[in-house]
Amino acid sequence: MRRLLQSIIHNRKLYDRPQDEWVCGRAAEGCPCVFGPGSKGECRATSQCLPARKGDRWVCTRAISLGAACENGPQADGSCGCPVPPCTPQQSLRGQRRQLTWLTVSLAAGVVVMGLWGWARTAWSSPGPLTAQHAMSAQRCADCHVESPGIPLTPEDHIRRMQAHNQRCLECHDLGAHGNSPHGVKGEELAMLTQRTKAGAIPPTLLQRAAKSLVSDAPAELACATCHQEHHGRDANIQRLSDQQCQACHQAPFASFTAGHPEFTDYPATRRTRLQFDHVSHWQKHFAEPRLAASAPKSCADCHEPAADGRKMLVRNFAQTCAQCHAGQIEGEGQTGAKGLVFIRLPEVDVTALEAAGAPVGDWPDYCEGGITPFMRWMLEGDETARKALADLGAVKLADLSRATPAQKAAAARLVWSIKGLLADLITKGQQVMMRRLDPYAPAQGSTRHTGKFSADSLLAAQQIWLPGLLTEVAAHRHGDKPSSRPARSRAVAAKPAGSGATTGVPAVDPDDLLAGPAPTSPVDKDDLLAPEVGAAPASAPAPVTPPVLEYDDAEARVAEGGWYRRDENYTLYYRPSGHADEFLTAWLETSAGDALPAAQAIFTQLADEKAPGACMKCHTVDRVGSATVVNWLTSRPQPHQRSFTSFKHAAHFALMGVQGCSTCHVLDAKADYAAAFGANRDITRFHSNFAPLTKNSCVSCHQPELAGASCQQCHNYHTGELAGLHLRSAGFNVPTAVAPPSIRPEPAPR
Amino acid sequence: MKSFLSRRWTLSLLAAGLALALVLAWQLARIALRPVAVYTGWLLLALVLILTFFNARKKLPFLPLLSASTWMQAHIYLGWLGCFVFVLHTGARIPDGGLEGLLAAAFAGVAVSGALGLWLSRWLPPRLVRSGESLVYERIPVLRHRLAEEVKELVRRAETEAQSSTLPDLYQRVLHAYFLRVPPPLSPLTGDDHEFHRVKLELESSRRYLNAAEQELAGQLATLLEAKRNLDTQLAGQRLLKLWLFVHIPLTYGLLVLIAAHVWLVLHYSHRL
Repeated sequence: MRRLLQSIIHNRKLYDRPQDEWVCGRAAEGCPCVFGPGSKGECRATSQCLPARKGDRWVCTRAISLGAACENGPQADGSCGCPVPPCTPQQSLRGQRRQLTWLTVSLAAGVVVMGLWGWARTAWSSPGPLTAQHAMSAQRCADCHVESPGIPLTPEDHIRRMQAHNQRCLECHDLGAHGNSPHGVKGEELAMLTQRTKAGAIPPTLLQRAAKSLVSDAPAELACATCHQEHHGRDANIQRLSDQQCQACHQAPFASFTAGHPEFTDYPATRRTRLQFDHVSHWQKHFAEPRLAASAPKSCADCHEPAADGRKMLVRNFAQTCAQCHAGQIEGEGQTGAKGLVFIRLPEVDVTALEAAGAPVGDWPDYCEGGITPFMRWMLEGDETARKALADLGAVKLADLSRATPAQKAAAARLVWSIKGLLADLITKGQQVMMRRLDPYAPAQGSTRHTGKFSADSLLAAQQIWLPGLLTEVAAHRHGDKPSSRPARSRAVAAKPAGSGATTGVPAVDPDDLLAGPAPTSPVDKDDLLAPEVGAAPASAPAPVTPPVLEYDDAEARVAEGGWYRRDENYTLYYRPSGHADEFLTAWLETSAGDALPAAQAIFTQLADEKAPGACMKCHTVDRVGSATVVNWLTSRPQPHQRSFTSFKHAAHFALMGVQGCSTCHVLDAKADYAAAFGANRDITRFHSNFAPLTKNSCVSCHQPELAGASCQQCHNYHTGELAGLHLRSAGFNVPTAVAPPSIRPEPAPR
Repeated sequence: MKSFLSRRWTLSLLAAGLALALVLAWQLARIALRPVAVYTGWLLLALVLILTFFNARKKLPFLPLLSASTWMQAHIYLGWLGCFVFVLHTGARIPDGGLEGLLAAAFAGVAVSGALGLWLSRWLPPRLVRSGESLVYERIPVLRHRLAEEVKELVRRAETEAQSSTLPDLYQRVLHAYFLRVPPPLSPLTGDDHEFHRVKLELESSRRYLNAAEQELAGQLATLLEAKRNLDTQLAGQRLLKLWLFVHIPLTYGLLVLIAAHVWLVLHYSHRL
């Protein structure tokens, strides 16, 4: 027989209160009191009822469930006659659960308070470890975060907050002038690129189209945290982006590199080469010549080598590449004219006209040729008098003053005296004057490259031949004395150059030949400026003795390794380059290329001529970069902070080249008019590469998702332009104002 | 009215459809470089609040806010959806920050206890119905007390009427302790029934020493023994159905506190909202 338990409950009028927090301690025995426990769990039962007073009697009010009115009835004082001993109320399940809930909430709140405001706030509130780099540089939340109260409700608030956060990033990271703009490109350029890419756009996939609908068309500024999501672990890659994410912003999205990526147009040539080197003519014409077979390169690697990071292919240095064929050209080998650069020359002056006009210029050779050299003009313009004289003279040439006005003749005379003064100053003060006259360039360059280690002695020796009385004349002129009448001169002076002394039988004064004895024809000590000058009143000469003489090489040949020399037949002082990368030539090319002054341009024209000594501009080019002009001495300018949009690592592809070697990708374009982009052109964007542009197919064969990979970030950088990486923060050393003397502990006394 | 099975299918499909739509939206927003963590965070907060309101709804029965059964169904399926959104929110990554780790652990605790509660509420009730008379949980202590009293009375009768000490000895040795015994908390899961069988075996073994009058009393004792077994089953089962809430509800409120801190941190420090 089955026993139904519910039936054994005696009084069904008792009902359960599961919501109560406390249960009577006697409930388990089936006889809970009618009062039940208090809200705090205290027993409220003292008796079975609370007797009621009816007239002068107390009446029992015991509940029916407890057996109704008791037989004994209340006590005389009105208290119940059936006292109930107190019980210990038990907490109900609900009460226990509520208690546990409050305990949990308190615990959580405690953890939150400790986490947000406690001593371990940073550790607790951080959503995760930072990457190693940021973990070292950021100590507090506020180092990277702008603490903003509340939610940014308006778009302006949102942008302000985002920009404030971006600024925190940019305090350390240098992303260039347009760091907040997509790809670091300014708005107009971005719009132009957009138009260009839109033209060849292929309809995107449905997913891309849907994703794109969520992106604003306007090139809005992006939050750094859009892509770089920190707090994902020490080794997290916070630069990673999926291809789809890259293309979400792009106006012309495409499916993948293999499908839809635009064909390469001019990659990798994006500018004119810095060195004018025609690969086609060299490979097909020059290197094919049998006489050059030994020195011609056998492969690209003979001239090119990868950079240290394996990315760019660099050109080896001059000695390893071009020198074998072109070193002689630089030194003037086979050159018909002078191998040196005309630096100073006595210009041809119409002395007769000047004397007729009452503006004598003193001694001046009759057979000078040519005008003022560009270098002389440059130095003369450093002097106020000369500059004014040059201006007054205008287009009139010194060599022919027959049609000059009196004012111009006067200016010509002043100019001649300025030339004489310049020569005298150069002789007596040497490089100091040269540096001062070359101002402002010489001090700005911070070196003596512009002086070419100028030798005043060379000029002194020349002066003793060309204008023997120069120093006296200049001193008198500056004193205000009228010059004496012009001494009779003949071409014989010029016909007796230092190098030709042997041929005449009379050795000329050679200031450089210290071993030579005193010149028999000139008793003047060339170093003794106080002594009478050559050409002055001759002293009594001893009887001429004809000593044995040595043959003099040509003055130019005596400075084969570079330096200063003169030629008396044309009253010219030359500078011969010392070979490749001569400091004097490179300094003046750099200086004059970017200077619009006529004097500077004259120097540049003189130096830039293909047949000029050094022939620098035969290979080296000049770029116009904005308002600046840059002479390219190197084939590639190191740009450690320049980050291009496309990144390619040559070294990683060496193993993939077939028998064709570099030609696998770089195919010569024989039809391209390579040379047309050089000469007077300084625009680097106008060029024709020697090589045909790379085709996408050459990359696609390997760069597929299942092979070498085809993700956008494999070849492209997001942040482009001039990026210095991290800002360099430098502070001075903290030097203590006073150094405390080291404390000397007294040695313990010996025992 | 729809059957339970068709309702389950309908709601499951609805929840799965919603989850799919969420994944699609999440993927699109992620591709579009939108702050998906912020979006899913707000969604998750809304879901948690709705789920928590179910408890409040039970306490406010006078409000005309759908039936408790509907709320229960919504609680179950939105709970599953909440777990899914949680995975999207964290990017299926185990958070390793202090507060975030605690928050994730609390959420996992609430979710797991909820799932366990759901399973228990589906698995235990049929077993309780099959075990015998259904009892009100709060009355079980009273019933246990009454049963113990009845057993005591039977044994006293055996002692006085039959003048035998067999049943009183058995009572002293076995029955007294058994009828006052409270089963262990997880006995319905572990199938802890051996105590009943041991006592019953003892009673049956003692029958050979009983006279006719005692045999009748022993039969009544056997009936009470069965009733005690059902009582224990009901107690253990219903207690388990209430015990999982000891994890689920306190953790839920603790979770809300941690969520509040998390939201404050996000609003205070986030680059993008």
